Amino acid sequence: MVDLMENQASPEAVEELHRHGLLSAAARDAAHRFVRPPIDWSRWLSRWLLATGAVLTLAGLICLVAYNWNDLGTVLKLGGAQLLVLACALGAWRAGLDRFLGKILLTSAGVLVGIALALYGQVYQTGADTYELFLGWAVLLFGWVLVGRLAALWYLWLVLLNLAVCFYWEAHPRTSFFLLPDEEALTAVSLAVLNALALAARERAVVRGVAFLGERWLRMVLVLAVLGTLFVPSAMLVVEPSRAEAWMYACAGVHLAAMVAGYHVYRRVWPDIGALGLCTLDFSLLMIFVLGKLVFDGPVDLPWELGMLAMAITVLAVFSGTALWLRNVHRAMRQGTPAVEARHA
Amino acid sequence: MRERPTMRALLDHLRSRGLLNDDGMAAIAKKLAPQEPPPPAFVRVLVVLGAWFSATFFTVFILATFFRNQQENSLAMGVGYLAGATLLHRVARHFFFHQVALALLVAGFILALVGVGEQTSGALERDAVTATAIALAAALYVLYPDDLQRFMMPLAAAGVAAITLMDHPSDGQLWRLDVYAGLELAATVLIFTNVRLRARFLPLGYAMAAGALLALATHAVWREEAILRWLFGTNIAPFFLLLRLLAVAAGIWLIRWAACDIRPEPGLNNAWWRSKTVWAAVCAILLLGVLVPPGVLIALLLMVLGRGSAERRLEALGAVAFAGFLVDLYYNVDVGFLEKSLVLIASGVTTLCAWWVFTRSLPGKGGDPCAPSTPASPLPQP
Repeated sequence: MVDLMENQASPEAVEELHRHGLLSAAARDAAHRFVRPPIDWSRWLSRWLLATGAVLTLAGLICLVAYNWNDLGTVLKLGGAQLLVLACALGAWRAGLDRFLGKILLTSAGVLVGIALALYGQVYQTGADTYELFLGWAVLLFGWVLVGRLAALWYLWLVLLNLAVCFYWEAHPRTSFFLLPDEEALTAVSLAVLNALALAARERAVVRGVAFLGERWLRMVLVLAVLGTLFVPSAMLVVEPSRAEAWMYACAGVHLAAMVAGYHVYRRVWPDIGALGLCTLDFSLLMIFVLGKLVFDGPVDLPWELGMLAMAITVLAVFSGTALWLRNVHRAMRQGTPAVEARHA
Repeated sequence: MRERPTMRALLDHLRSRGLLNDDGMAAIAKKLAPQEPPPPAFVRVLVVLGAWFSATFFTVFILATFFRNQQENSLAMGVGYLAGATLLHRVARHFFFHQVALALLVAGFILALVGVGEQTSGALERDAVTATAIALAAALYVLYPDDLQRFMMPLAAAGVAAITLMDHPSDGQLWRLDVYAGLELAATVLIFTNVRLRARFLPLGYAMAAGALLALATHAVWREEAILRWLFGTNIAPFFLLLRLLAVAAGIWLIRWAACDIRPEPGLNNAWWRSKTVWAAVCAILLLGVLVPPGVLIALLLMVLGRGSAERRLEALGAVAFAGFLVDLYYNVDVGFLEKSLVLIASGVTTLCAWWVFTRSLPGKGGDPCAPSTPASPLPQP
């Protein structure tokens, strides 16, 4: 149960009470004065001026450098980028990684490493593939990821690995491998495996008390990445079964296994309604694809208008059934073991 | 922003001041009795998706089956949908049916406008559709008490009206859209600066704010910078300046509101017109009104309005619009890339200088914007 007395008071709530005759006019006016928080306009204006001025100046400098890029020497181009990396890294060390400024500087240094690598590749025309840039960037960043203990930096590192995988298979098309004949399938499976390993590592780290990885959004993003990359082959299998190949069936099998594993883990082991919701949404969407296929291309030849009606009923049933089930599960979770929920919230 | 106090803290405060007795406290506690928690956000998202998709499929089925060759019945069907949705919203208890009703309401609104358009023609068509949209939005505001509906329908009606005003952009009469955006801004300021109006018309206030920004954003795609034309002697209609005047007036009204009506920062005196901060803000508003496009100024005003009324969504809307209009301003400045970069740097350095001067001039802070201010006089009591 939610105690409304512990909710934040708002001017709208005050007006509502006055309209119902529960507050006199004098009480209403006093309540409005009490509820309105004090506004430190000077601080707000000061920060706004600083942020706007900094962004405008930085944008102007970037445009100036871009305009004069061809006239800048190699030393200036490469040296400038590396100097910025060094400055940000030293600044992060000096400010301290436990402070917000230090974290921003370390993250900026991590981003600038990639810019420096890109500049190196452009200046010296090394002929390296795109995936090598992202892989090298991830390798160089790994040390700071371990030291920095920043969720954002860890997330950036994972994005780089994902991009490296995508560009690797793009650069190596049609590599045959057991059941998986083309680079699209290999990309989907590789990404799913990579993100599943990252998710498992994250869960394990949180159990062992690594606090900076405890942010819930990290789990949600990784679950979405795993399920999302496997959804496409499954959907293709449903929509065009006549063109299905062996790898699609394998991907669909892995997809179903991932959904079942997700349900078990986030329902029983580490209860999390958000992650469970993603798993059920994934399942619901797949069900709608399957039922839609049956309606429009099934054994019964329905006119398309009746197909629309059938789809309306199908969508209604699937989503409302899923929502009802999730709500009941959420209610059961709230009555579940507090210790388990607190540890893995 | 400091967090607001809880309801319990508020009621204890009123009781300590003798403005609430035990009976009143008990009555309020009964009204605010513990309730079943709302479903988690994810469940609501699923319900919304299900309701809207199923309503869309159902509407297509109805249109295809019963009105295949009878398009003039769109109006009747739309009115039927609106009536049905309103009734469903009033009798339904479950969140799911409220979303179905909302989806049917949107479908009915669109069908009604299509129906009116089909039964009129020429210039009358545009005016009839606009009038219908505004009338429906006003009627639904009363009959269909739902915050999301009260935001969507007025915004949709405002959009239809803006499209009608934009119908002939080539004739240079863009001032109509400017005046329109100014009126929406005035409505927004009026609603958000009055507590009683805000309590009743908050969704409408957001719709007006969004409508003003959208009208200006659409306008910015092809508008010429009126102040530049004025500076270079081209004859322009005086209405082009009307929006700027409206925005500056709204800005000065907001400065007065921020200084007096809401709890001011401790450094301000009772006589707000003597405050250097206030006069600096007025000068800044006047300068911005002359130099920058209205979109930038209006976005800034929305940020101030959102900050002052503790409406974070409005403040965020203003911040996003400010960034967008600022990018639009510098992107469309008619100079070369090098000059543009120098303009940016000059603007940035000027703003940073303003920041430095501002922080140094604040009393009792020693130049540190993060240090707490020292009250120069007691807080004014209304």
